[in-house]
Amino acid sequence: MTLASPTAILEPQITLHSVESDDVILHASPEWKKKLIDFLKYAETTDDAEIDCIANITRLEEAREVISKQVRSSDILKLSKLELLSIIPAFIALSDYPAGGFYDYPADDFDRLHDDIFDIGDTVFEKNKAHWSRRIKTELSSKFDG
Amino acid sequence: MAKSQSVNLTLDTLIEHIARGHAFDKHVLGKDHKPGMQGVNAFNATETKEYFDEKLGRSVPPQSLGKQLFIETPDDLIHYIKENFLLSENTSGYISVFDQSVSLYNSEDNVALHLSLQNKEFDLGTIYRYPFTQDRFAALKGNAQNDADALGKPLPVIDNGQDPKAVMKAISELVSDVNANPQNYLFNKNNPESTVQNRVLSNASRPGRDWVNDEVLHAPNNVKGHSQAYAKANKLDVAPSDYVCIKQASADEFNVGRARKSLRSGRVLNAIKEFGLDSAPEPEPELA
Repeated sequence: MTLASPTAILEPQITLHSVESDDVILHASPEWKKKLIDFLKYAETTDDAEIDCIANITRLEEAREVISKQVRSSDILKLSKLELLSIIPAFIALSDYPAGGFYDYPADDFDRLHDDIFDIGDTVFEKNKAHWSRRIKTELSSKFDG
Repeated sequence: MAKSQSVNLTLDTLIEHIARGHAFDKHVLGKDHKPGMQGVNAFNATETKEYFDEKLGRSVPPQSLGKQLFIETPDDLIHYIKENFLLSENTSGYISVFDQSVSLYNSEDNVALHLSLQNKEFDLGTIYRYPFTQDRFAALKGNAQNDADALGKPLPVIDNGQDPKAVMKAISELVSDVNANPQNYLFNKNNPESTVQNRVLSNASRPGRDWVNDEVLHAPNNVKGHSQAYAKANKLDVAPSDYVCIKQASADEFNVGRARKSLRSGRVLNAIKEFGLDSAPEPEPELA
């Protein structure tokens, strides 16, 4: 049985607001937009040679630039569906790292961003969900809450 | 826009780059950061190592990788890709609608292979296996399907189970298109002066790696020949005297590389760059 870390960030930090045609509107605070940008930078530059065999780095850079332009604007983050799809492989590629396996990236941030992006992806692309397990086990980790 | 230059990529070159590139270091030699995989030859071991996860506060038991594949040397890996993986009826995959990269998974061996012509290691792709490779591949395929849907295009799917030549046909088409249109594959689109092609495909003597630190840092990648275990398991026609022990052969390569490095002057270095490592050096002019 998997027990979540007591330091896990239990509440979703980036959530879906709405889908408008080809755009996905998200709720995200400036702090978590910044964390998402930092994660994308990490994925683009990590010395793990596998990542850019799986995630298209050019697409990651383009998505990161779109997020960077909105980092201070409000609690809303607008991405196209293709931009959302471009960042998902980076999370898939790095999810091989186990809970305590990151040595050069904040694991709690990764777990939270990972689960939020897959929750959003599964809602937006309902027809073809990722069937990808979440890293934060909320039922168990809630025992650490309070 | 980078100028189009003629290239001569072949299936053999492509496979050799992958098999002697970072994937060999990481997944055969076990130079993997992931705790359960450190020191594990993913293609020889059948399960990961037990390790203690500090964040979870407990030990993580070994997890299954798949059946033993007996791969120990780069030539074992090349043979496996060419004669087993690409031809197996259990291999299937898809072609990205964005960059035409080919991604494949073999369900019998739990091995995934991605052809990625612009990766930062310049080794044209990767091959690996982890306990969750099947799920990971399914998630990537689902994402590629969503990409295709968003663009209103069908996702090209390849399945040797349906057509025994499907995988080889897809890769041959990719190789042909790279040769016909290298500017679409081998150059960094954001850098018009990109020399990806030159760094990779002109390095015929050391495929799969940037040549500068090659001989010493990557001695095992340069080893030629098959291991005894792989040759026997695959009934290869290899004389016992030609079996390679990867540890011994790596040490020999390391010593050769170190000697070459210590003998180099700037002039020799330039000659190696221009003519490759196997060419005879230009004789010094005789003194009058």
